[in-house]
Amino acid sequence: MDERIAKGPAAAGGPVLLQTRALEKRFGGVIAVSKVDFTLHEGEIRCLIGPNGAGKSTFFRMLSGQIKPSSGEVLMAGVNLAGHEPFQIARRGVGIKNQVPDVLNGLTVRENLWLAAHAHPGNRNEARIVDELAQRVGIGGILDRLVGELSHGQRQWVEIASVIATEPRLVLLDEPAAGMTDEETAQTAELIRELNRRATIIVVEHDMQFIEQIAQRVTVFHQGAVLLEGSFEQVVSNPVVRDVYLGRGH
Amino acid sequence: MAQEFASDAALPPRPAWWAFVAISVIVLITLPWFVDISLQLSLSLAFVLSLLALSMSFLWGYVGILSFGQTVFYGLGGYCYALFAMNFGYTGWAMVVALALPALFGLVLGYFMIYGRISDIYLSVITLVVTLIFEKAIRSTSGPEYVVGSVRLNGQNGIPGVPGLQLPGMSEPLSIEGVFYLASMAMVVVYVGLRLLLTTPFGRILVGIRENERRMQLLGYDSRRYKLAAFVLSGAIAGLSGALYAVWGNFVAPEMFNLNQAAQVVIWVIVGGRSTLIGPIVGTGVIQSLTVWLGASGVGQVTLVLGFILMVFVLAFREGLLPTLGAAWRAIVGRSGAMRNARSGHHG
Repeated sequence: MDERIAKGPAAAGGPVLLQTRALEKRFGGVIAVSKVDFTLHEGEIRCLIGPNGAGKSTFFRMLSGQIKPSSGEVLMAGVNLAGHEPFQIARRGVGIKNQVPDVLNGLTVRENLWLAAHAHPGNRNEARIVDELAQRVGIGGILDRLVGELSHGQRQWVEIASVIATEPRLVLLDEPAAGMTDEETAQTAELIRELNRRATIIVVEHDMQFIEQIAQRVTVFHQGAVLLEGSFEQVVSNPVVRDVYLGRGH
Repeated sequence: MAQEFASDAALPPRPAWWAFVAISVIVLITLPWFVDISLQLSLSLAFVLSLLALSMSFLWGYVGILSFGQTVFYGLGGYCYALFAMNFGYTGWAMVVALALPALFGLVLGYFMIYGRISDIYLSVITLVVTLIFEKAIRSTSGPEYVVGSVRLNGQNGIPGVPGLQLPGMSEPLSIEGVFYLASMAMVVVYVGLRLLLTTPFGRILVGIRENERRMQLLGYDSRRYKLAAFVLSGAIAGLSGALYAVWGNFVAPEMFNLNQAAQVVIWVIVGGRSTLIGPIVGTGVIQSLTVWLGASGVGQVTLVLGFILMVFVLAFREGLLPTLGAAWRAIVGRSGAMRNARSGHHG
């Protein structure tokens, strides 16, 4: 068994958590995502890669309800969520960190996390959850700072922590390490591995070193469709992937 | 002045704030002993209109919805009170109806706007158009056939002789002093209530929606439900303001719905500062006093002057009067503190 696949608790054998069937999104005449069939097992960390405009973020936004699919199905634990409102999908256990930090800039880190913790119906001790989570994510020292005043990397962590606070079953992370220093990137990788003990994760990322640290399986998007799926080694050694995305020098 | 919508507003108010409220209440209770009837009347009107400004700033400052036509609820509140009180004679119940009906109308209007995914700018336009439709409709009811119960609507002449509020156990309607107390305490109660609302999960969620509605939805909040609830609450407050106006003036008229009135509310809130709740109250007082003074001193051109003031605030003092003064005060205190530190450091 591949060493990276061994990182996840149920990467290969867990039950199917998320499945898309012929999922498609058209913007006028442009097909951003084209009939994507995608299957994710409980406990996996899956990375999505592909060139800019390949449809990864559009795919994520359809999974989280931010845009409605033109056709196809999004099955979460067997329930079709296609066309549902974002809050309904969130209540089904899907949390997302968007590509650009998507936080409550005018409020403090503490309030961001409080609102996230409060969103989960089972949480009624939000203050304790906020403190514990802040320590876990490493943002305990900035709890009372305004989020809008933080660095890009810190805001990414606030957003990730907000997602964790809702206790999702499936976490979608769109470029979680973008704009981070090497040290911050390593911390983020560690955080994602730790998060994977409780949640299934899909990560969209461009940084191949980062992907190598976390991914169990990699799905390559190209021109709105799935080009290839496999282990990290299988993907990076594939000549077509090297041609369309990684570049021949990789 | 601490910004009530700033991040620390979710915490319970500090003792200094409670002291400010207590002193304000004492001043308001004792004021009629020292001022004449004419000033009591002017102040009562300012308190009534402050409620209208509060209803708007709550919606704009908390939730980020600019309702240009809060006057639709204000006018509805006034007409509901007048028609119910004149038909049935129960002025206490008329007050309840004057809160409930605008709230119900807010529920219906808000439902179609908020659940219909109308963008914020269109929401502003629609609320303005709705209030203007009401104004036109009421103006066209001058014929004898326009009667509600036994009361003629009287078109643009309005309805005179609206009875004053007679609370249970009272032998006659509230006096001018009584209306002063009613209006001032209504303003204080709504102000304190809205401030405390911020400390509740509901208030915090509203502020979260104002900050980033999409993120709140992605966290699992049905933002539409919260926005609608805020819209209804704001409609009820504006309705209360309209009913109190009818009690104050014993009169309602289509002007309550018109563009002039709608625009004035926006000016009060912008001038006072929409990021605070006390700002719109001060803004209402300042602009109302200025309007009265311009009229009384023969300067005239009230609309021109108010328009100029609005432009100055929009271009130069976007935060409004109180937040700007607060920032200036903090800057002065900060600079003098820094100078003291520098001086003591030099001597040391």
